Amino acid sequence: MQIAAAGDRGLLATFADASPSLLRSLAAAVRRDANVIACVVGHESLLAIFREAPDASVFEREVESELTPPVTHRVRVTFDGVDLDELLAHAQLTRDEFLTRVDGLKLTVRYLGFRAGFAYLDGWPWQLPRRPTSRTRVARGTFAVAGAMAGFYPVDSPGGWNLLGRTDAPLWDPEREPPNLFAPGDVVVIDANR
Amino acid sequence: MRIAEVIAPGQLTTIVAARDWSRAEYGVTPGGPFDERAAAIANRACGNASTATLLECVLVGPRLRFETRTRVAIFDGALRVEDVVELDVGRLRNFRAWIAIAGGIDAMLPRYAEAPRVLKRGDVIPSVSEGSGWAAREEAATRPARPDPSLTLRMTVRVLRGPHNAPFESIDCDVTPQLDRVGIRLRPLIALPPAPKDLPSIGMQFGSVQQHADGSLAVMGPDHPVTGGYLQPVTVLSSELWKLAQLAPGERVRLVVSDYS
Repeated sequence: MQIAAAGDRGLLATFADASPSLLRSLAAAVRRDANVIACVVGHESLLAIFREAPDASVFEREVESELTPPVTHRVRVTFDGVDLDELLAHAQLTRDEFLTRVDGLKLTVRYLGFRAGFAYLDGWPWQLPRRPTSRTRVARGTFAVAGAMAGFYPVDSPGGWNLLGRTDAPLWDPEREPPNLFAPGDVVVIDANR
Repeated sequence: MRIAEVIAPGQLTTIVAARDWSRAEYGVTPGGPFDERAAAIANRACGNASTATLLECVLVGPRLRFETRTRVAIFDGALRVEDVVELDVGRLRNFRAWIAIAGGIDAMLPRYAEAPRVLKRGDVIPSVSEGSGWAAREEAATRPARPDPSLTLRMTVRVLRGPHNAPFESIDCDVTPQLDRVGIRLRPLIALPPAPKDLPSIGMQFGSVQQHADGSLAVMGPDHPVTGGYLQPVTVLSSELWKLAQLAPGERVRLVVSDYS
C-alpha cells in the first residue's frame, strides 16, 4: 500500500493487487471511522476525505467481508450499436461468432465515475481504443467499450466510447435507495439478445 | 408551501444544498456551494442553519416575487440583508454570489440528482418542508479558519503537491471560458512536461487539479466526477477553495505549491 496526500483533507491509498470487492469492503470499513467524511473507490486505490487531520491508519482497518457482498447482475443487451461493425472488423469476428462469445461474458465493476451511476467494467476481451472525438449525445442504457473497459451510460450524456448495444436494465434512478444498480466488486454477466 | 416565484432567473442561478459526501459511494458528486463559507455567511445573516439550501448566482442575480414579506441575505463580497416582497438582485459585485431566504428553501430535486437545479422563469420555489427535497445527512465538515472572501481577491491560489508528482512550484494560467460547477479549465502560460497517459482512475474532490493531454489544467468544482484518470499534480488547499468560485474567464491565476496551513 502506498499513501499520498490529496490536499490537506484527503489521502490516496494505492493497492497494487487488491480486488475491487476487497476495495469496496475496505472502503465501507474506512467510512465507519468518525474522522472520515467519504471514501471513494478508484481503479486500484481508495481516496479518503477527512473531517480533521488526515490519518493513514484508517486504511489498516479489519475488513469484514459480509459488509457489502458483491452482487451478480445478469444484464440483457441488444447488440445493435453504431460502432459494432467496427469492433467486429477489429476483432475479426462475424456477428454470429461475436454474439456466441459475448453471451455469458463476465465483467467486473472496478469503480464508479464520469457521471452519476456510471460503472467502469473490467474484462472486455476485444480492445478497441476510445473514439478520437466524443459524440455530443449518447442515449441512456447504451453499452459501450474503450480499451479493456466497458460500461453502460446511465443517463443521456456526451461520450467518447464505442457504442455496441443497449439495455433496458434500471441502471440509475436518483429517487431510488441506493440510486445505482452496480457497485464496485459486482459482476455483470452479459445476456446477449439474439 | 410556496415561498417565491421566479420573475427572471438572472444569468445562471442554481439551488444548492449542503455538500453531501455520503453520495460519493454511489458515484454521485458531493455538490454543495462553490464557497461554503460565503453560503454560511448569507444563511446565518437571515437566521438559517449555515448549511441550509440556498441560491447560488453567476454575474447577474435573479428577480423574485415572494408570497409575503421575507428576509433575504445576499452575499456577493459584501453582505446585504433585506425584508422584501420583490427582490431584484441585478448585477453582482463578484463573479458568484449567494442568496439565502429566511426559513430555507427546497432543493427541488431528488437526493441523488447529480447537478443542482437551474432556476427558470416561472419556477415556484417551495419551502424546505415540502417538495421532493432531502435534508443533507452530513453536516459540512468543520472548516479551518480562512481568509475573509472579501473584495481584495488576490488571484493566487495555494495548492498542495500530490497525489501525483507536481512538475512546478508555481505556475501562471489564464482562466478559459470553459468553467462551470463541474470544473474550471486553466491554460498554463508555460508548457508543462507531457503527462503520462492511461493512468488508473483515482478518486477526486473539489479542488483536485488534473493535467490533461492538451496541456491544460482542470480544477474540479463542487459538482466534479467522483473519479478521474488524468494526472493530478496538485490539490487546492481547503482554505483556498473559496477563491475558485470567483475565477472568471479572461482572468489570470497563479497556482503556488505550498505547505499545509
